[in-house]
Amino acid sequence: MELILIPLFFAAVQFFVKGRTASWLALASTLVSLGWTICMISGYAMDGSTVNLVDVEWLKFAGIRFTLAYDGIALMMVLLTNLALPIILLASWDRNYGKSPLYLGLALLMQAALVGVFLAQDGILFYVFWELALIPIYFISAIWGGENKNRITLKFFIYTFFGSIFMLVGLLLWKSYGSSTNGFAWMSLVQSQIPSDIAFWAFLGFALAFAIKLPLFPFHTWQPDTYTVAPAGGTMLLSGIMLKMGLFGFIKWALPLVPHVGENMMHFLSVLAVIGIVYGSIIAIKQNDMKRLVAFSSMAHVGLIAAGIFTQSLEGLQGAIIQMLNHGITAIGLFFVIDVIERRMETRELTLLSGIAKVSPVFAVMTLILVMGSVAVPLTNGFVGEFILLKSVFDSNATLGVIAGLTIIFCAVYLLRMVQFSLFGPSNAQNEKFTPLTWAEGIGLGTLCFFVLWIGINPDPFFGLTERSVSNLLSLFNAIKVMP
Amino acid sequence: MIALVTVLLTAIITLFVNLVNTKWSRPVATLGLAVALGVCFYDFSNPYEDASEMLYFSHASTIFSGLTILIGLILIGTSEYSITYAGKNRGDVYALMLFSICGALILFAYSNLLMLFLGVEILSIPLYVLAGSDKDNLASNESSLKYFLQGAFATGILLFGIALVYGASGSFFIGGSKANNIINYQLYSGGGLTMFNMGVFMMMFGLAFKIAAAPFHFWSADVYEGAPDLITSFMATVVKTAGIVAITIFLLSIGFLNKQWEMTFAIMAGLSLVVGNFSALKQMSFKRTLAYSSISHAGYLMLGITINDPIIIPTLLFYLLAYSLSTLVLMIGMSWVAGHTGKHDFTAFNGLAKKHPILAGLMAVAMLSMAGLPPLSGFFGKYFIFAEVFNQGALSKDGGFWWLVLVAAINSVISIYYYFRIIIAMFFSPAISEEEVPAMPRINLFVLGLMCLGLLIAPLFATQLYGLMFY
Amino acid sequence: MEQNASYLPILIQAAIAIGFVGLVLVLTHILGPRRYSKKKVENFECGIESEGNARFPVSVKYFLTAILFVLIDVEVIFFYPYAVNFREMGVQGFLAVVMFVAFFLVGFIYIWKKGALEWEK
Repeated sequence: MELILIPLFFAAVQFFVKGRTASWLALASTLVSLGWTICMISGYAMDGSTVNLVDVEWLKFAGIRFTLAYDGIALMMVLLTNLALPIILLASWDRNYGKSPLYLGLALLMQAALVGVFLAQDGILFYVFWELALIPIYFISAIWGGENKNRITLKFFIYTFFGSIFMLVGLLLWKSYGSSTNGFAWMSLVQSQIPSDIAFWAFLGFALAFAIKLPLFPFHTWQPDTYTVAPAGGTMLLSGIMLKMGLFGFIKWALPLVPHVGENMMHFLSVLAVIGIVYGSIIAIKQNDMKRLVAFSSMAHVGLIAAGIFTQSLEGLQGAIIQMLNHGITAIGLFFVIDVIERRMETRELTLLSGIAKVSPVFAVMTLILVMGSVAVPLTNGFVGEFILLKSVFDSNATLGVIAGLTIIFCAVYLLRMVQFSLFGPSNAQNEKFTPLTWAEGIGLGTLCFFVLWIGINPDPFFGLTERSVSNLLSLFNAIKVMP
Repeated sequence: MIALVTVLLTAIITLFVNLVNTKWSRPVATLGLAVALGVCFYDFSNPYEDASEMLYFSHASTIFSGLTILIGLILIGTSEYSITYAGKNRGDVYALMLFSICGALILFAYSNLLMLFLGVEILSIPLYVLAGSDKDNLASNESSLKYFLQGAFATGILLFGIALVYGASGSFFIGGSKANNIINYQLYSGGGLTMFNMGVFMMMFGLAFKIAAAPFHFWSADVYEGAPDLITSFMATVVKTAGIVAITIFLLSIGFLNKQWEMTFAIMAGLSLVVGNFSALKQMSFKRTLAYSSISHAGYLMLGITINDPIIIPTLLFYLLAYSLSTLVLMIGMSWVAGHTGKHDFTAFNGLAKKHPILAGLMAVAMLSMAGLPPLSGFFGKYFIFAEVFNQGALSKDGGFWWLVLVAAINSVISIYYYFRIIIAMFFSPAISEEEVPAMPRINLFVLGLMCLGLLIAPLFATQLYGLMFY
Repeated sequence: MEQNASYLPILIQAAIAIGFVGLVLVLTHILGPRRYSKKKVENFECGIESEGNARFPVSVKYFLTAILFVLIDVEVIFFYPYAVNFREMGVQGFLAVVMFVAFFLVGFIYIWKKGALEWEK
């Protein structure tokens, strides 16, 4: 509960403060949240149990309760959110918009909503937080966005709202036609009996909402434009955390419906995910704008995570969850790097950049670590996650597994191309504009690199956090009785 | 009941105060409405039924009265600048608004079809005048004439419907307390079911006209656009509330006959949603857009009426509360901006957030609520209606009107497009208007802030609200 | 069928009314001798020669006064049924009528003070 209230409180405080005080307050708030999260994790028994935070009657006549609870999976997502927020604030520290109390307030509001999404145990509460997260990011992208921002951000908003309204219809179908004894409570919904034709429509509603959020091929058309047009902080929020809402939603809210719907649906979605991997990768290779390149690579990586979730195996889910954390870290890192370059060189075009490594070797090393993490080189975090994901996909369907495996090769091609063009090669005359990293950038990138290596070398604590929760979840889903 | 008398007396006093000193008319009218709002609390604990069973002030009707009086209070209280067009006659405008509110209060409490007719007339006749109260403005005159001609026609049909219902049933009474109420019509005439249904159909025609539901919506865009801003906000909120409640009371009272009207209402609801939304997409004027959006909101409300169960009364109340508050915030904001730029176009709002961030922020909150984004009241209003439709659908064999919810859901996505145009204009577009919009008076801004706060926290108290209704 | 029978007299009456009017119109058209002259097509106004256009503008104040008169007129009409039932309705009826008249009086004072009754202003 405090995890939601702290950001909300500091978001409200942003109305009354100006200048650097606002930035420091916001940063302090995110650090407190992070500390709180770490305390929660160290206090968690790692036994897959669900710990109730708050559970009160809200709208009794409509069967809605205000219930927040966490298990290992939720803790992992909350950790990602609260780890990412301070870094995002640091990334925008020296930017004009980063000094605006409005931006800080919106970012903190977004943090509260995201934490709410991950902790909510009630369908409608989940939906409320889900939509609440959309409003701040819309404003962040549309106020400080680049060219064509009005059209692109409105498209983004309508696209995602379109998906989520069907999720609402799905929730209503699930509750009205299922034999849910306790309104929209998650456990009650999961254990309810629902006719399979109704379940099909409900699942479709959920799947549409989550697929648009991810985005899964062919619902991705909003993504590259929005990532490109949003300010760096907004892009980090979108790619680093917001997209995880869709993945998390698939795990928690869509998988329980699968037994009613049948496995064919899952195969279909896996195929879409794998198409997304190949499609995103191939387009990324041809990009010249670094931000667009990373946007498409993000689509490919998320496709792999989604494919892992669709296997519904312990390995697939475990890999997906750790890879969600990893992707959050590396995506934020890569957008951070791009922002650092753009701010100094005033361009993101690969063809205009060259030899930055000669000017700033420290920056080059950090960039390389992040890129290695994304390419999934052993001893980095990406390797741990992608290896398990690929194995699970291969086990469930060998053909898909092989195609999905291409992602590593493709990823190496486009990311190394990006590194080669921008960091190496003969030093460019423009490069004297490349001033040394500020302290905020240094700390931000350094932390990210630290996590890349830590998870890569010693992933066990992270796996341990979620392992029992995932197996509990799977046994719960396997025990679902399907209506004859 | 006492609230009704209070409003009536306030209207008369305002008329005379205006003769003495125009400046006092607004404080007097505001004070009278505030007293009436207080009296509503007394009325709530003392339900009143008059001896001849013409009016019955139940808990529900008192709450609706309170809502309407609150809307009037906000509108009149903040009208210091939006009323200036009326010059020395502003007291008359206030008095007419108060008379119109009296009509609305009668519509919340009628238990006799004659009172329904009287209520509709008392509600409408002042509005015909009010729509044209900006005498020097041609658009206002046009709006008044259009409203009067079409409104009189609709009223005539309503009256004909009442006559047919009377012919079939031999009674004007609705509700169960009298033995000779209209649902016992078989006792009085040998099965004039066709006549009865024809009568109900004509009554629905007349009442659907009042709430501007498609296909009886053609008057609304021109009338809303031409009327002065103050009156447009009044029509969009009070008249819609009164009309919807009047329809609901009548349909619930004929109970079992309601079944065959469900499909009619479902089609009207779907039509209103689609027509309202698609017409709003291409408008240049913000005021006109709001007019079309109010048609689509009538669609959501009609969707609620298809539920055919008393549970819809609190659901409708919550929806109307959310809709009215957000409409008022938008209209009052629009009236302030338009009053100084002279334009109601979207472009008049360009760059408002730079100059007046608080006003723009409040209008944005109201817009988000209208568009139905959680956690604001507008979302919960829609959600409660959707949920009820699904619950009814799950109970019935044929699934009820789930397809209509789908239509409504898709429409609420479409509505984002035009609702967000004002947000885009205010926040993301550079200012182009030469006229400087001065800062809004603090007190008005404060009232707008309170309304937005209400939009934010109302969902927390929805349970209590539902409890009050079935108290 | 029963209630259809009860409407039959009304139907017959309506038929006779329409039929009579139609018949008379047709008959006068056929039987009447016709001779046109300038004097005959002129408007007939008590033998006085008509002057100018009949549709000349009348002062709008005239309409205001006329409408106000209609209101008072309607009030008087309401007194007729009351006068007939004066005894039966008793004190309560008297109070109701007093309230009715009081409302009218308030309205009258209002239009008076507003200046609606002053022809020249």
